[in-house]
Amino acid sequence: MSSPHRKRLLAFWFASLAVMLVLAAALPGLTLLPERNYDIPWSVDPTGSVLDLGWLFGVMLALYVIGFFMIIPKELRRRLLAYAVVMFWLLAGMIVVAVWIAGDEGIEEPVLLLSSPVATPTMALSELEFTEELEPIREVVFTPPQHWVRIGVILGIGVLCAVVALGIFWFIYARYRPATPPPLFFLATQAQAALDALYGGEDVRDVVLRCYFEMARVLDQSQGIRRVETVTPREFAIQLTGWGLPAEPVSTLTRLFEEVRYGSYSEDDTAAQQAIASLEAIIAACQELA
Amino acid sequence: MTEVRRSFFAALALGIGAPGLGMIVQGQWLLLLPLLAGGALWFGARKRRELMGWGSALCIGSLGLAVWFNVGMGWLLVGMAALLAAWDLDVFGAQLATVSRIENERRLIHAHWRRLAWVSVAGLLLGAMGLSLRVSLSFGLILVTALLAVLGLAQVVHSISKREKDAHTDVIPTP
Repeated sequence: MSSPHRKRLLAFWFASLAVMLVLAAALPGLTLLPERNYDIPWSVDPTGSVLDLGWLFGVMLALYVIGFFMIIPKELRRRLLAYAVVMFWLLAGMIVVAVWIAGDEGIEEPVLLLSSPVATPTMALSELEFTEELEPIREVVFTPPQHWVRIGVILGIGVLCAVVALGIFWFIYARYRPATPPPLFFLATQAQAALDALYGGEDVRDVVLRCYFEMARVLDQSQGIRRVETVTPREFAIQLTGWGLPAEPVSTLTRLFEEVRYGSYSEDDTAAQQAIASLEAIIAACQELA
Repeated sequence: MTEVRRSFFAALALGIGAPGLGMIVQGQWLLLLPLLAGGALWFGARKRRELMGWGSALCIGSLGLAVWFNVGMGWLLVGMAALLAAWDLDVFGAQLATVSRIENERRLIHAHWRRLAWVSVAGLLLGAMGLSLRVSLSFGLILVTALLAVLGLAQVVHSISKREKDAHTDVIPTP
């Protein structure tokens, strides 16, 4: 990374840290008031007034979403979304269990104001004088939720059931699907191309690196789930030997790749010879197995 | 390798033990369940990387819940720093395991520990500062500050991931 770029990145980093520090220091002092309804006279037209700040919240919400979208790396987005859903259900479950455990004790009792100085437990109820009359208990009439709420809940439950059913289906499919034959032909093609390049006098490093990445790509395509960058050399070797290729040439090729990639490669003829011998053995094994 | 493994276990134990103790002190026994389940999942299923993610998410989610249930912030701060360190060490150990021969392994591990210790101490100090300092801001200003923090972090993460991608494409030779 160039020096100005690094400096800019560090400046961003420190500025973000400072802002987060200020935010952390300010949040405990934030008091959120309970919701209140204001009677707005019919004569007042709220359009365009100061109260209409919906657009501002919309813009801020969009910026928040963009920010979070940029923070999460592309590969992790789907997984983090799954974590968020699980955490949401966990939280909801915890709240339900907590309320269930708290029971009636968790419900706040109304405080009675008494005219007598101190109310002791031994005093009879008739001795107490209430300064204000309690409001009569109003009959609570059940009002069904609005139509869109019912539709939303039904849709949500439907989507959840569908996701669970799909998950179960996918799990069963992934567990019992028939094994696909290994793509030995493509591996042999890549090995042959590397061999030709070596005989043609191309640089051993380039050939080994290219051969490894091309073979790893074949591996990825056969499994269909991982990117080339995430296949590790050891996984590469295990997968190839798992398909019946001889262990020795595979491990030699993997070792050569590691030496080239991680810097301990010594430029001599033995590396080229080893690479040629390994590739030839791999091609022969592929032909035999096919 | 064993050293990294041991340090991972120690960090995970601290990351679960400290908030767990805070929950016990506060009498929030119920919160221990997801925390311990997350820790067990993380600890027990180390061969499967995706389960490690679920375990760490459960642990961090439990810490978030604990804030809501008024568990002491000191316990949670230590737990959070230790859990992040455990996550880092777990990934570091997995990376080392993918290479069959490592030159100067001990030096590499010690250098990583040093960096991790610096970052953890800095995180703890900053967290403690955030918890102890008090600033009075209006709701609107807090909203804007949060937005600035999110966008700033987004820019930093975006730059770092772009840099990593560029570095990777530099290594792969073109056929």
